[in-house]
Amino acid sequence: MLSGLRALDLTSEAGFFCGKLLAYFGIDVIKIEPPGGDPARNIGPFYHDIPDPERSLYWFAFNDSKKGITLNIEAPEGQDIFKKLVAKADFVIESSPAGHMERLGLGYRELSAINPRIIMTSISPFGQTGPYRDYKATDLVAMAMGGIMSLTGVPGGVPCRLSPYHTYCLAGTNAALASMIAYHHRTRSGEGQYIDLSLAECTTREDYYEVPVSWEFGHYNAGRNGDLMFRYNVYTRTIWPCKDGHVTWSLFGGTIGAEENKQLSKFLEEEGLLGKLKDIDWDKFGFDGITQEKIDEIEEPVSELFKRFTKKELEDESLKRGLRISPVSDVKDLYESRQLQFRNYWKTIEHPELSDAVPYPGQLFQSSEMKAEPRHRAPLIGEHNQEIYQGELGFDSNTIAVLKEKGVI
Amino acid sequence: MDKRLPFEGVKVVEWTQAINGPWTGAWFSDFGAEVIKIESTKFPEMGRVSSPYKDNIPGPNRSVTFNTFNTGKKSFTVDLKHPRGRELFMGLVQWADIVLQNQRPGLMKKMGFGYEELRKVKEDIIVMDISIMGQEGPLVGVGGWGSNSMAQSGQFYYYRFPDSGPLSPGFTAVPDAIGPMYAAMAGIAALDYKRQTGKGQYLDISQLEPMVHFLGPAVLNYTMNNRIQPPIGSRDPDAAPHNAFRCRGDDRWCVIAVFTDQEWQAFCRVLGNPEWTQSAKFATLSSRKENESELEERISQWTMQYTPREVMTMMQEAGVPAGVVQNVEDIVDFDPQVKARELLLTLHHEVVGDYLHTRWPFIMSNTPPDIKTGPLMGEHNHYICTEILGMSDEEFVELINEEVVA
Repeated sequence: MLSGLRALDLTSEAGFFCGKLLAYFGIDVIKIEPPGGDPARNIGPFYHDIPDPERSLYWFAFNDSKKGITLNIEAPEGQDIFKKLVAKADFVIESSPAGHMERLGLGYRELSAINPRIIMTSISPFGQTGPYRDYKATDLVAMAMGGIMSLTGVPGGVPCRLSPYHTYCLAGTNAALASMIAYHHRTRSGEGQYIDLSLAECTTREDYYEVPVSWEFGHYNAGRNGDLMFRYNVYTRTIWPCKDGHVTWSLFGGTIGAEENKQLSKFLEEEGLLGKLKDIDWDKFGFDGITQEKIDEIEEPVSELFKRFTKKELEDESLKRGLRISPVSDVKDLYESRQLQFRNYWKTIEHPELSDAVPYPGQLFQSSEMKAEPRHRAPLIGEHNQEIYQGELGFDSNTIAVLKEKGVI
Repeated sequence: MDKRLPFEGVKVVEWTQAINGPWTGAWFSDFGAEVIKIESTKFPEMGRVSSPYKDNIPGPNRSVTFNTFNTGKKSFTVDLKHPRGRELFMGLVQWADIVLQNQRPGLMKKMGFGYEELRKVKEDIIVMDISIMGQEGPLVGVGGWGSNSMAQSGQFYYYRFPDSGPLSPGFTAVPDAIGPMYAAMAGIAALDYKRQTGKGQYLDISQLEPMVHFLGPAVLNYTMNNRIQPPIGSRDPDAAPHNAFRCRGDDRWCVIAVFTDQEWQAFCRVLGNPEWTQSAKFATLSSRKENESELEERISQWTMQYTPREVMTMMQEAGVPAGVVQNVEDIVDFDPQVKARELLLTLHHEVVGDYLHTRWPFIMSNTPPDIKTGPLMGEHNHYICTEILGMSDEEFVELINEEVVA
């Protein structure tokens, strides 16, 4: 684990996830909020639906396991304090508009002069350079510009956002990994570095099939295909309605699909739905040169089959028969998932102020030696001011009172 | 490159297929690790046999998909079922820091390559078992693809409009792009742990578990408020307008996201402050949310007069977040930002020729990755047998003749 290290987290929504992950890996992450608290504390939903900066589930979910202090880094005195913290820190993560940190005198050049071992990771909409560097982007805009939104929706209809805050989580993941790569380098070279990460680039990289495959080798835009998947020459179904919702299953050819297709045929036969499929030799079945008619012929009885069962029943049949059917789970299904329960996934986090203890999503992976999981609830506004300012920087209570009065902390 | 890359000297043996496993290995190879990919000529891995192929002619060295996920690795074709093949594999385990695999859960153990077995060969080995659901548990038998973890983790549930069924983002099952990052982070943490304690470890990394965190607020809305948060499509509870709008052109769209009052005022100015924008119906965020369909209809009337790029430029210059719903053609041929930041690299492959590759989405000041194309099948057999495993040319030829290395 990466213990004994400290990260200073200046991020807004676009970067919360990065610090959260670093904290799961054992790093002491200090979330720095403007005095009064981070504006993201006003994002709902709220605990028991009572809007309050200390009850935002958005804040809880993306800032757990961090410590929190308030500091106005726009003010010169705040900048001096920040620099003192940088001297003893290992990581700085931030997501302000490109160039903003330099304007404050807190760019990588300044910070690395204070601490050459510092690893600074900047998360911005389009990166620190290039003609769009000053453009604004939210989760939605980055998704659109990165290309992945051109694939989601029905043909001709409005493109659909992937799940909410998806790009922010994706960027946070990339940023945490990049920071850890830089850290690994530092353990051998002693040198820090600067990481310039772009939200839009994250979504372009995420869309692994379009570049280079579809454009360069097929010269087409895959477009929006509803619940179907375009597979170079034909469309196959990804999402299937069932009795109480939807499941996912995909048809494969070759050795990858043969065994499963045989099992599925047996299932169809038992349900009296095999029909024409009885003539298919699954050992020889493949996608090369296949027609859409053939795909439809196969998928029609499968569609009938799935409609006869519930999500749970299909999952059971899947296990019994060696199929790869999974339920399209809502958050309740997810919470009740027997797989996650078995793996002791849910981690109870105490919220003493709410007199409650709540299951949170847990471990990032299992290990024989390490634990990467939530440690404690997100910080209250200024919760660790005393610990950091008095305990570590040695400010006396008089100095702290003056800084408070001036709105620095 | 005269600078040392972060993972230079780190040795990885991987026996992987498809995307999740191979892409994990690529994070290490691109940043300097020596990664040996175990392959089988009899049973080529999925990536090798995935269309499209160069000139539409199938062949294990002609798939672009394979090269995308196996950059900079060395390929070793060896029959692991042969006793001599097994010895070669164990020889590589002894050499390696990390053994990385994403075969069907349980297969490694069945073949005598479980963690305990590998530890006997190398005490401090780091073993990374990568999968969809994890190595143990009631649903391990389902396993599946990225789409299975997308479904299980709740992602599919939210990929939709409130009034539609779940949608599919085409071939791209996003957990396949995300899972490898968690595996790579686990691997780096394990290397650091070894550096500090001298101990190796066993890692069981699923795609499903980290993906659940992506829906954190919605999950807490269930565990704290007992509510199944409904899907909201492209809208956002804290912004209006917040959606994709039809523009001039054939199926062209732009997105606009207005969160603050300041952005709303700027937005109205871009539209020339038409009368409807002054109406009480649209004065505040809450009134805009109440009349959102009408708001969107009125905005579409305006956006349809312009290309998406024109809308984006006008909005961005006024400080309003907006963007083109770019397709792959826009990104490859038109996006000036992609060009300026060299997001797309041209790699050269002996058989496939020159092709585009998307680099990782960040730029590192000291240690940029060194991204090379994927290996030909068995390209490094001789090097691996003689240089790493230390055998003579004669022994190498013998292994080929016995079809152990094939």
